[in-house]
Formats: sequence, C-alpha cells, structure tokens
Amino acid sequence: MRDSLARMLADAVDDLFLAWKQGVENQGIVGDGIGDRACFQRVMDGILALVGHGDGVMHPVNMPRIILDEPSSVAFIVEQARLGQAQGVPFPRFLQSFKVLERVAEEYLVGRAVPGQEMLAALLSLRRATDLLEYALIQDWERSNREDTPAPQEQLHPGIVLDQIRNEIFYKGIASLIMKIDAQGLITEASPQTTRFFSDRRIIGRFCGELLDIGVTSMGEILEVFPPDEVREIILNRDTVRYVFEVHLLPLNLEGSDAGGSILLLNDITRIADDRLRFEMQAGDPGHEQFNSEKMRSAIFQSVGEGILLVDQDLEVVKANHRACEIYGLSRQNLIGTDLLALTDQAGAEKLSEFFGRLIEGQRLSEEMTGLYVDGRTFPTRTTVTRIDYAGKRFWTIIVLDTTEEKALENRLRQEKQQTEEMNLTLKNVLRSIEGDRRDFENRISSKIGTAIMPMLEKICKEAQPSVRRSYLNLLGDQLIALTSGFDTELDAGLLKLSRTEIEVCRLIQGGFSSKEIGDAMNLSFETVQTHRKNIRKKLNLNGKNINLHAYLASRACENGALQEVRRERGMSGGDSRKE
Amino acid sequence: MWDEEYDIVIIGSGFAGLAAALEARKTCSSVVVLEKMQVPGGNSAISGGLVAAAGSPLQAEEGILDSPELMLDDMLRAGLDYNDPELARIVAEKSTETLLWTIEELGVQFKQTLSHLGGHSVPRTYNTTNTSGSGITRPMLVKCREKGIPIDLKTLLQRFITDEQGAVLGVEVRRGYVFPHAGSGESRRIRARKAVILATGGFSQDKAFRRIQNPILSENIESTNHPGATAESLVAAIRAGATPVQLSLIQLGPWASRDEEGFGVGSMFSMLAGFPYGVLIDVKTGRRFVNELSDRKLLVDAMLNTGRESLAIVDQKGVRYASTLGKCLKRGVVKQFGSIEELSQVNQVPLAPLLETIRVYNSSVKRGVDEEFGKPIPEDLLPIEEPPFYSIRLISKVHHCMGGIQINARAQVLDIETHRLIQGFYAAGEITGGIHGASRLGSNAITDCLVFGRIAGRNAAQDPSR
Ligand SMILES: Cc1cc2nc3c(=O)[nH]c(=O)nc-3n(C[C@H](O)[C@H](O)[C@H](O)COP(=O)(O)OP(=O)(O)OC[C@H]3O[C@@H](n4cnc5c(N)ncnc54)[C@H](O)[C@@H]3O)c2cc1C
Repeated sequence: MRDSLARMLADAVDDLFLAWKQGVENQGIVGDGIGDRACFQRVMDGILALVGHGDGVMHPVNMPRIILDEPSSVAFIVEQARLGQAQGVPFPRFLQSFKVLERVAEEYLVGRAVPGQEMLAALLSLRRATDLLEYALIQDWERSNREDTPAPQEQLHPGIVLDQIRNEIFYKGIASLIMKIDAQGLITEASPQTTRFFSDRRIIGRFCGELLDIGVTSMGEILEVFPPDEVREIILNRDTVRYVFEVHLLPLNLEGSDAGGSILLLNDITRIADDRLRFEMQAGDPGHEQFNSEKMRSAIFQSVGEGILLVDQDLEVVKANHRACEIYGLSRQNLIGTDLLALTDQAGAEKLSEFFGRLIEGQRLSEEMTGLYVDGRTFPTRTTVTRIDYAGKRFWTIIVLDTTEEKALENRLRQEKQQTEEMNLTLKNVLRSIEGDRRDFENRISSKIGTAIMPMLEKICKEAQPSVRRSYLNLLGDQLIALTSGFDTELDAGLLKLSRTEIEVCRLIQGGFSSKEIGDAMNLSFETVQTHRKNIRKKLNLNGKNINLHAYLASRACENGALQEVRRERGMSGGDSRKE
Repeated sequence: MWDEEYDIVIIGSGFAGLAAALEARKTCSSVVVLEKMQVPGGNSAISGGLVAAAGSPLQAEEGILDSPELMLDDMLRAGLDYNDPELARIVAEKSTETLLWTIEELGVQFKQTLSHLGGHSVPRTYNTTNTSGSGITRPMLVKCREKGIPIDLKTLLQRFITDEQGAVLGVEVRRGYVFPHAGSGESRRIRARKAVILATGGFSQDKAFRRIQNPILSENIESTNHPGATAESLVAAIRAGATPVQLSLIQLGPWASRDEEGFGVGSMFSMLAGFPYGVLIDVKTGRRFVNELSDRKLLVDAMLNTGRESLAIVDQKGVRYASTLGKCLKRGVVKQFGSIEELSQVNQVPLAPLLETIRVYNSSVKRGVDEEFGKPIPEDLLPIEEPPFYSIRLISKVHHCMGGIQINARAQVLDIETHRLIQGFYAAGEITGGIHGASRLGSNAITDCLVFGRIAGRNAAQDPSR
C-alpha cells in the first residue's frame, strides 16, 4: 500500500506542484523560495521518502519512535524549514506552505478513482507521514525559539498571529496525543499537546478512562476496550468540535516487570473520519465492529446536513439518516425497506438504474433528479451515488441534497436579472426622452437667441441714440426673461422690475401684514406704503385686474420662491426686515 | 394577542387528524394541521394497515356472515365491558361506510383477502396492499395537498388557550420545534375561530408517564410506536379541563420480534401467518400454552406468565399471506428451516415434546376442533407438515393506549367537572379513551381513528365562528 501510495504521489508530482503553487498563491505566501519548484521538490522528496519508509513506519505507535530513533528520517524537512528561515521565510509561513502541500496531496488522493479501502489506507498513511513531519517541524521550531530570543511579532507573515498558529497546530494539525499511564490507568505523564487539548482539565493523576469519557472504571476494562496492539476509535468533544481519534495502547514491559504501565496514543483522524462518509462501509472491517465504531459510524451517518441513504442489491433502503427522512416526509420505519426507485420519478429511476449498472466499486456519480415527497409533491435534488462493496455484497450510498431553495434562488436571480434588464430598458428610454427634451430646449434657446436676441444686440451696437438704445435694452431684458419660462426658478419679469423697498413691502404683504403694520415696521407713512402698493401693482401688471396683491404674492412665492430668489440676487439678507 | 388565525386547528397528522382535516375542509376553507415531528403520519404511517369492517363487500363475496352487532359484541368481550358502549357502537356501525370512504374518496388499495385476527369472531380485517398504514396516510396526505390543507411540521402543541367559561379559543405552540428538545422553536399563539381538534395519538413511548399509570411497564419494555408517542398533549388537554379515562389500560403487542426494534416487519408476519396458521410454543418446554387467536391481552398475559420465551412456528402453506416474509428473512427476523429437527436445534427447543406438540395440533386441525386451547379452526387452516418451516422469536412490546380523554358521540371533549362539552374542543383517535375498554382488538384502531376523525371534522366545521 505504502509503495503504491508513494508511486501514486510520485506519478502526480507535476500536478501536485501546480496545485501547490496555486494554493500558496491563493494564500498570499509566495516568495523567498515558496512557490518555487526547487522548494516544492525538496519537501515532496521528503514526504515520499517517509511514505515509502521501511515496514511498519506509518503505524501510529511508531511515530514517536521514529522521531526519537531516526531523526534523519525527518531531518530533511527540519533543514528545509531552517533554510527557509535563513532565506527570510518565517516559520509559520513555511508551515503554511507545507500544509498547503499536505492538503493538495490529500485532495489529489480523494479525487482518484481508487477503491475505497485502499484510498482510506492511503489517506491514513499520508496523513500520518505529514503529521509526523509537522510534529518534527514544530518541535524544532519550539526548541530554536527557546534558544534564541523569540521572533519578534513583525517577522510573522502579515495576518498570522502566533496564537492562531498554535491553535491550528495543536487543535487541528498534530495528530498524536501521548499519555503515560500507570498500572492502575492513572495518567503519570502527558505530552504538551495532550495538556493543550484538554486545556481546561487536570490531567496528571486522572484515570484515563474518565478523561476519555468511555464509561469504564478499571484498568482491566481499559484493556478490554483498548486491547494492546489493536486500534480502536473514540470520539472526543472539545468545545463545539467533534474529534475522532484512533486509540492505541502500548504496554511498557520494563525489565520483565509488568507493573510498568502503558503509553496511550491518540491519533487524530477527524478529517479522515469525516471523509469516511464516502467510504462508509469500508471502515467497517470486523476489528472495528466491536467498539464504538458502529455507534460512531451511525453518528457520522446522522451528523451530516444532507440526506443519506444506504441501499442494498435489491435497491432497498437499509439505512437512512434523519435528514433523508425529513426530505421524503417518511419516518425511518417507513423509509427503511422502501424501494429506492419509488423515491424519484420515472426519469430519476432510469438514471439511478443506469448508475447502478455502470458504477464500479468506490466510484461516484452525481445527477440532478426529481424527488418525491410523501404527499406527492416533487422537488429538485442533487443525488450522488457511490458504490461500495462490503462483505462480498454491493451497496450504494445515496447522498441527496434537496435543492429547492437553491433552485428558488436561481429562479429569483434569473427573475431579478430579467427585471433589471427591463428596468435598464425603461431607464434607457427615459434617458433618451430626457435627452430629447434637453435637445428641444437647447434648440428653442438657440433659435430664440438667433432670431430675437442677436439681432437686437446688433441693433443696440449700431444705435447711437441713447434713448432708443435704452428702449432696445428694455426689450432685450424682456426677451431674456421670456427665455427662462419653464425653468425651475422662472424669472418673473414683473418682480425683477421692483425696487428694493418695493420688494421689502411685497415680502411683508406676503407675510400677511397690513399697510399700517408695514408702515410701522419700515418706518414709512401709511400713504407712502399705499403709493408703493400702487406702483407694485403697476409693475406686476395687476392694474385694473381684480387680483388681490397679497394672494398674488403668496401664490408666486409658494410656486417657486421667486421673491426669495430676487431678494437673494439683490443681495438682501434674509434677516429681520425691520432693520432695513 | 394572536399570531395566527384559522377556522379549525387540528393537532396531529395521523389517521384521526387527517380524516378530520379532509372532512372539515369540505365545508370550511381555513383548516390547518399541526404536527410536532419532522415527518407527518405518526403511528398511523407505520401501522400495519389492517382495517376492521363489519358487513364489508369482501365478507359478502366470501360468504362471511357479520354485522355491526357482532363486531360490537367482540369489542365488548375483549374490552371486558370497560368500553363506552355508545362510542364502541358508533365504530362498529360506521366501520364499513368508513372503509368504503377510504376506497372511493381516497383511492386506498386493499388486498383482496380478509384476515382473521385474534378476538374477532369472523374474518373481517382488510389489509392495504403495501401491508402498511402508509397505504392510507399517503393518499390522505396527497388529498390534503390537493385541497390546500397545510400540514405544518415541527410544530408542538404546548397549551390550550381558554376563556373564563373554559371554552377553548386556540392553542399555544412552538414552531420550529425539534423533537425531542423541549426548549426548541418559537412560541406562537394560534387562534381557532371555530374549534381545536386534538388528534395526537397515544403515549406508548412515554416511559415515565406510562409507568405512572401502570408500574408493571418498566423502562426496559420496548414499544412498537413511533418516538413521538408521548403524553404532553394529553397533559395539556387535562389541564384544559378534559376528563381522563382509563389511562392505565395500556396494551402490549404479543406478536413483535425479539430480533428487531419496534413493530418492524416481524409483527405482521406473526399476525398474518404465525398466529392464524401456526403454533405458539414455549421454547423451554416445546409446548403450546394458549389459543393463538386469543385477543392480545390474553396472549400477552399468557406469554408473560412465568417469563415464557415464545416462538411461533409455521410451515410453507402457512406463510402464503405473509407479505412481509421476504423482508423478515432478509433481516433475520424470521428463520427458515428444512426440517423441524433443524428448527428445534437452532432455537434450542427440546425436540421430542415439540414433535409431539405439532402432532397433536395437526390432528386437532384435521378433526376441526382444538380441544386443548379452543383455537377456531377454519377450513383454510392446514396442518403444519410441509417444509420449509419458519420460526419467529417473540417478545411483548407496549403497543396501544386504550385510555385517553373522554369524548361524546359528536367527538366533543367533556369537561371533568361539569361533564358537559367544552366549547371549541374536539378529539379523535388514540388520544381519546374508553372506546376499546380493557383490550383493543387488532385492526379496530384504524377504524376508530377514521370514524371519529371524520365525525370531529364534520362537526367542528359546522360550529359558528367566534
Ligand atoms: C406499529 C403499529 C402498528 C399498528 N397497526 C395497526 C393496524 O394494522 N391496524 C389498526 O387498526 N391499528 C394499528 N395500530 C394502532 C393504530 O395505528 C394507532 O392507534 C393509530 O394510528 C392512531 O392514530 P392517531 O391519528 O390517533 O395517532 P397517530 O397516528 O399516532 O398521530 C398522532 C400525531 O400527533 C403528533 N403529536 C403528538 N403530540 C403532539 C403535540 N404535542 N403537538 C403536535 N403534534 C403532536 C404525533 O407526532 C403524531 O404524528 C398500530 C400501531 C402501531 C404503533
């Protein structure tokens, strides 16, 4: 297996390089060697060497041993990291690039059409190798940090804070929690990672069964649960995260005495366990059956947001998660035993039958098809079928995603797009008509200027007689004012003719004051005010008309604030009129 | 003060709730069904789909003489006269009409043979073609969708809202409830302009509550019911003034398999093959101990007696109506053997007494009378002699609540103090009590739920709006 894993990776080295380069670019950590083929090659060679290392290496039990006994097997990566640091690549950045490579390699493996059992083994081996390397890297870094003065914060790659990295490393990355327990199962020593993982709990002196929450009370039972030299799985919940560990118990027979206690090794396989959904059945080799594994498998089966069905050769549903029940509106009791093809329409049934005929072990196919709710309603799904061979029989996992909302969203987007397009069209039309109006308006102005104003100006220029010039000028004024008709702030020819005092009188009339009050306010006699009123009426062309001056002014004012406008133009303050 | 309003608010989406909804919808446009689980159907959807009807077309075809009177007699006999005779009579009288309603209005498909279940004097039991209650709930749900009756899932009834006179005005629910997490979802007050119909089924899965009612039913006795068969809605009804009756009358099913959870596929095998066409023996002695066609209470009492380990045995001819046989074999619930010797060895039954038991039984069958236990021997009952032989290991599981809240003939809930109806409050189905007395006969529950569900729906729709 390891052989073929090494070969698989070696064969894909070009693809892996490209994917890695892309990955480090995406993370913005390219430079100083990172992203170069040479750097990639060195790290990759190291991984390949470790993956292809002598027999039994990748067993979790051997991991600490490798580091202790054979530092050379991991030395290359440590050197590469130091080299990087010498070239100006801070350690966290190097680690980040390493993790990108790890992820790229895992993704590559997952994407390969390898039978599930083998894939799982390959992933585990790869994971263990990279974990081991990471462990060695961090150890070395911590050591050098202790020796040197700690790297100043600025030296870290921007956006990465020390604590974050520690979290990443200790909570997600490094695989093994290592504890030493005595003959009674009490913990006597624990690796720093272990202490960190159980950060809020006292570890030393605790009974390991209690710490691991496996409901046993004696060392005897511990040995039953974790038989030495066999791997078992447990789930540990920290904060809100669910971790899956492979547990290995390694007795320490010190000089023939059996009272030496044991090493308890927990290998974090959470990510793989999550992936395992795809290899649902393969993980179930008989060795796993005995402990928690069945429970865990059904936990995995339950924990996912998509509907999951397991069907057998008769296309009968043999397992279903909650979500699947909800999607089809059937209780588990009803869903189990149902013919899978009855959960979709004719086209879906044909598609599924075709998949079943075509799929080879471990392969996966996906298709959009119609789902059938219990009340006859149909809904869109994305259905993924994987074939799994187990104990000589064929099974298929069916992952069903109800895409109703997705589809509704798509439709909404499509509608919105259409509406936007329609809106754009309307807007365009409106703009066009505005444009037309503007052009009309300009035409009107220029033609007026051409036909009325320019000739007038010429006449004024040629006219020597001052009185005639004056009347031309008056005419010109009238023409210009006429041009503004239809403007927002239309100039009122009449208002423009008013004197300052008259305007002030107007303002007070508009405000509803009587002539007497106006006289008092402006320090004018009643008669003077009356004369102003008469002149104002004349100038506004109201003479002989049955129009009340107050009403007229009020209406003009609220139409467009013309009076205000005129006042402003004449530089009259808006303040207290009495002072003027 | 109200978040939502409907004319009629129905709680529970089983036979009773859906029948009420469909019937109410005929004259009333604003009907809603509230259901606490993520899926509709409750016990109804997982039931065996056996429906009793007296004087049915199939009985006429087969020349079986039956009548509502005879069915009522059977109900009262099994019920030890604990039954409310008026309500029991309504079930018997409306049984055939209701069966026909499912066929004609809903399009339910039934097998073309009748079954003879324990405690019934004659074969009067129809069975859906898919051997499941889903053969009825599914068409009901389709019809609800067609008629625009919303079935709101994940909505838990918490409390009835009443006025000073005690009339039920509406309900307080939790929408977005995730069973069984009590605090989940959001509280909402829903007004029922006409009435609330309670159709929430029994409480066989409520281990604490059923133990209070009957201390013999310890935690480790399994149940055939869906997980949501719990008592909170019964408690809410009692708080709203409903009258509890016979809550301690809880039925165990004698036919469930030891080798699977719940009702599974084995129960129907026992009902359709093991009991009518086979023998029930005690594994330790190899002997029969009861008439296999007794009603459930007698069977369970006999099985629990001195901790018997029960095994039903049937031969090749006996399984001809066992429509779940394939699944039973596949799941290891029923085992198949080439000979009685092999069967006795695998099941660890002493061979000699077993052979003797079968010999005696076969000769009774041939003579047409079972002198030992009085099992009725109809003509199609044949001796056990033709391999392969089949066995199923049995264990009693909590199955049905005969007790519940009291209703009148119009399905109105009766007040515990005044004994008069509570305005705006109806109930139907397994949540009600007193219809079946001490023991509910197999296939009578579906009939009861459908009959009273329809009565409740029809009457509630005729109530004035408030
Ligand atoms: C496995 C099995 C097989 C059976 N087979 C047969 C058979 O073949 N023939 C026969 O006659 N009888 C059979 N029975 C009995 C019969 O099926 C039931 O008595 C019948 O289905 C009850 O119907 P119901 O409508 O009253 O309640 P249910 O069908 O149980 O529906 C009640 C609904 O109300 C919901 N609910 C409960 N509390 C609340 C709340 N607080 N808020 C909101 N919703 C709530 C429940 O989740 C449930 O969906 C069987 C029963 C079981 C369990």
